[in-house]
Amino acid sequence: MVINSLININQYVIAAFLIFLVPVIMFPLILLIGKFSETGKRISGILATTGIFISFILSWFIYSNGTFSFNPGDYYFNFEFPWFGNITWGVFVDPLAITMALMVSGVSFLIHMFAIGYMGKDPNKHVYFAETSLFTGGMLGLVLSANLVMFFLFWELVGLCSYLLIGFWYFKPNAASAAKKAFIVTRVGDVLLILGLAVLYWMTFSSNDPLSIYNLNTQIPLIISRMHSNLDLAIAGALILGGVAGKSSQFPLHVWIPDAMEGPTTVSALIHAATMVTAGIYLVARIYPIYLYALPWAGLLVLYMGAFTAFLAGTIGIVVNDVKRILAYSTISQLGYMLAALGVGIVLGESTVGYSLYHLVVHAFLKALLFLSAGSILFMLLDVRDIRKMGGLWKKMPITISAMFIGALTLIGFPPLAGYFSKDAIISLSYYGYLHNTALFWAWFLLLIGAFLTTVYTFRMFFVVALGKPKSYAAENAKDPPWVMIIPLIVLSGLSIIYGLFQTDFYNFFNGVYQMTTMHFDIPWYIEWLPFILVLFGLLVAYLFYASYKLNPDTVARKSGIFYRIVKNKYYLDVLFTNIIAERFMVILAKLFYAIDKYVVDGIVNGVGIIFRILSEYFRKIQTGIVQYYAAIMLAGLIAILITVFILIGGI
Amino acid sequence: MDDILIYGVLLLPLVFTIIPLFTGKYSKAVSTALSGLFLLYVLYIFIIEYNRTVYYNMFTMMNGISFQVLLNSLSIPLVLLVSLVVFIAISYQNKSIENSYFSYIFFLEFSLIGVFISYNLIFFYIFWELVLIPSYFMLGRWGGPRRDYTSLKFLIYTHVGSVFMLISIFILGWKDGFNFSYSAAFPAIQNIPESLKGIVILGFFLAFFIKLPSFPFHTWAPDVYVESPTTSSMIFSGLLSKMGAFGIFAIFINKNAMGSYLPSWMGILMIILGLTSIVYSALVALAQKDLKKMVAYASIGHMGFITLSAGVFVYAMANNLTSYMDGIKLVLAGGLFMIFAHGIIIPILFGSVGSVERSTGTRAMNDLGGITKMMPNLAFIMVGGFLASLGLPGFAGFISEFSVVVGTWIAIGFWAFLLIFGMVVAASYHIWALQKTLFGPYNNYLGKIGDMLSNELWPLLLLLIIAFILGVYPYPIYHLFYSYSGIIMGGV
Repeated sequence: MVINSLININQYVIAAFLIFLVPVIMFPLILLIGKFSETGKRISGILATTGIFISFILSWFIYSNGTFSFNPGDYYFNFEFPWFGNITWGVFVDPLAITMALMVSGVSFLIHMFAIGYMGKDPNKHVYFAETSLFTGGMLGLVLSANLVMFFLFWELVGLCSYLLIGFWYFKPNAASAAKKAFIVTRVGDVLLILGLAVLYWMTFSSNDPLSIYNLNTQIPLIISRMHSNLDLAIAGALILGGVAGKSSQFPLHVWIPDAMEGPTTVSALIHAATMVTAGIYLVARIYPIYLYALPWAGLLVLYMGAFTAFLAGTIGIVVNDVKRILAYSTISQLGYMLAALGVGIVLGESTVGYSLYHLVVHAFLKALLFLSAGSILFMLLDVRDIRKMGGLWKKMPITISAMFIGALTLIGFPPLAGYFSKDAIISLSYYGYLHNTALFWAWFLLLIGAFLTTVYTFRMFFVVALGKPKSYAAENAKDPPWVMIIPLIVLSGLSIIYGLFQTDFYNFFNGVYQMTTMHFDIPWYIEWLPFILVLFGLLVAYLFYASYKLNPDTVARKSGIFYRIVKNKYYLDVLFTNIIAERFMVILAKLFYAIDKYVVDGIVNGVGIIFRILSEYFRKIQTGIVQYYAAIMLAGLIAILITVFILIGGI
Repeated sequence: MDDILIYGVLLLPLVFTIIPLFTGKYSKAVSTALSGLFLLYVLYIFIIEYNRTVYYNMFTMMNGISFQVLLNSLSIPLVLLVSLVVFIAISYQNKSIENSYFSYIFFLEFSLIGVFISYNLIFFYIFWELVLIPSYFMLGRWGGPRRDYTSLKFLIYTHVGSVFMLISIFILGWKDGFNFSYSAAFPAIQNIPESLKGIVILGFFLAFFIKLPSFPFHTWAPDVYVESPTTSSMIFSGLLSKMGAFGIFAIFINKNAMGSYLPSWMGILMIILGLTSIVYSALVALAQKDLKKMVAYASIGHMGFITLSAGVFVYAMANNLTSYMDGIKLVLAGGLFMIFAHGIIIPILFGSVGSVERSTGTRAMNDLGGITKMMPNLAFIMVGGFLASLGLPGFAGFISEFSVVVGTWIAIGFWAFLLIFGMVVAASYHIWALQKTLFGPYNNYLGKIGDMLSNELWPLLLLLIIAFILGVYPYPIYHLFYSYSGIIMGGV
């Protein structure tokens, strides 16, 4: 077997393979021992958690060794085998990949630990832990892939696991339907992504490993100079962005994520923090040179898709009452920030990837924290998800709600928590971009308003849940969950608080990829503080409406009339996709084609058959039963055929 | 390779044909053992002859026509596929069927292997027609309520295609001195008058595209697949359609055979037929309420990828995209790999649907629901099979769909949106069917039902594992097809 690599096999390569293979192998292992023994079922959670902890240790091992010095040329390694045709598979590790691997395995480990408590009583918990293990393994494989086709394999594996996990309680009709919706909507993105890969394939097919991430990161300028055109690159970028929209739930393919809340809350935490949705952001960052060298509209598409989604999802978050859905819309909105940060890079250069990834990591901590604390609440409230039925929980479950408070403050970007350093940096970044290119103004504006919206929806949720009086029997009897669920909350709270300290170090580590120094942008101080002012304003608004009840939100809703209705109905996108396209248009189209198949295509076949039957009825009269008569006709026929043949031969 | 081994490939199934008739109540066990041993035998040949070509002249008749066989990187994997699917189907079949059923299966295996290894058009044609005989009986004797109509339709429809091919073969034979060997017959096309060339090409075209089946010649297929007993559906959809695919790659577009003589618009026509097959079958499948019929249309959809890949190659040849040939190789290999992938995956679907029908007594999706609760093993197999069928990475189907989709871009550009539309619809109906049958609340009207029987579970699990292995590590098969696509392009 030909091995195509930049380095020889060594312990780091083996470690990199094991990072994703260990959790993947846990899948059949847990499934089998859980199926055949009760003890196996009991220890399934511990097994899965251990597997992911091993991945985390291995990621740390690679991260902490000297491979990542900042000398050019030795901050990555690439190791590939032939796979099929001229496509390869293998591992590619650079600061970007290892950052993601650390984040994914670390956060997933904490969520798994929480799930030992949360899923403890489920009769099928071995299936759950097998699937989440595979889910995490898939994400780690995606992160470390050396080739976009292999990347796509894991990309779909992650999608498959989310399908299975959202539908984990398959007997609930909502869960089954949400799983289906998640699969089909992300599938729309995925086929666009395949097409994007097709365009890229035809740009690189003559090299010895087309679609390899190493080649795409190093040889794009070469390819551009050979093809004398960057239109194809822009088309590829736009198509790939379709896949990103599906996976990272950006407008207009974001509709699956709120429904995906039907699964267990720990699954939501995995999807929103560690695995799945960050895959799309990672993809754009992974093949960033494509957007950098393509026609600028591809990058602007990235920017405005992100900025618009950040704004749009923020508005919907304000009117939703399901605690998990509020968090879901918040995720959509924050992913918009990450994508927008990447989009700004077409003006400011590759170093914005670091800004995006920093927010991604911070968001992973805080969103895992928020989902797990929401999970603790639902665990105690027997899965009542309506925030209007909660209330007064701060007194009842102090540790959980304090953790949620830290998560909420981090989410809105309150200094000095980590969110302040990650999110406000992106808003400032977009303003700095606007100073270079006026096309970025509205992106900055949307992101800025997004900061205000984030504050309002987050603290609307928090105030209603935590303050006031308990509004249901379950809420009155809530208490803090067991320790196995509390420890992850504390760890994540700690990370959310202190991670801001590492902002500059993170950017520096990261920019090693592009051998660039971290950018210092030069914008007026009042622009820099504007997001924080809006956050304070948002807090005031949320306090007046939802904590002190000085103002009544229903009055505002009534007065705003049509705007409220549009937002409340999620801009009618669900109606458009589900009710009009899927249930009307596609069903009618399918029935039409079936009718054509039955009556036209098959009708012709049967029609020909009937014609022959009628003809045979007619010719039956010739069949007199006299053998000589038949012989004469056969002879005549034979002669006719022979004459025809001879004429044809003679005619040459 | 020893000559005797070659005889064994063809003649062992023929010998097996009579054995089940004399083994009484053990015929199922004996047939399973025989087909399993034959599978190992073929696997042995696959390994020792990996990526090699064996040409052998079995015998020469008095009139100078010889029976030559060719085992190469296309026919050996196909023979392997035939023996695998036959083994799976026989293992899946329950015992309570007449012994002659197994005889028919072995005779079908013999004829199919004959089709795939013949290197002489006359013998190719004989085997091609021989296939119809066991199929007709398997369908006509053990089929569903509409078996009379369906078996007749199947016989006449595919026979009409074959007759056109026979005319073409005779025209070729008349120009090559009645030798009929591939190596002699196809170069003779250049000596044929222009007016007849079209007829020759049309004859092969009809035979192959009816058998494939491709839109618009596909309407026999859903009827046949639905009316057949489960094991016959597995064999028909998994293997019979491969005759058409084999014909397309080994004869129709092959530069060493007819490929050089195709008219320039043939590529576009095949691309259109392939695209239409994919989109059309997906939409029709979406409208189905019968699970088995839906699977039948899914099978037609997969065949669209084969037509499409062949079409892209012919188009590239006609439009002189020679600088892209490295990439086109990937497309052809993808189409060829679909033969194998589909042959493994579609029996899983028919098998699991068969188990649903046996256990619940119905195939109508609206009467099912939530049966995962009662049939967890079936749910595992069925989810796996359906995901493999919709082209999810990690299963063999993805490798070929990806190759074809990627390659199609160079030929048709943004028309590829039609293709991906078809793929999304395909994903939708697969997932939708899973939701309606397996998930949601249990339909209590079904009463208490049992899970898959062990003779149903293990064969399908084996296929699922193979589909998975070939999805992750397709190299052993894909490499053969990748080198065969070089032959299609005119290499030796």
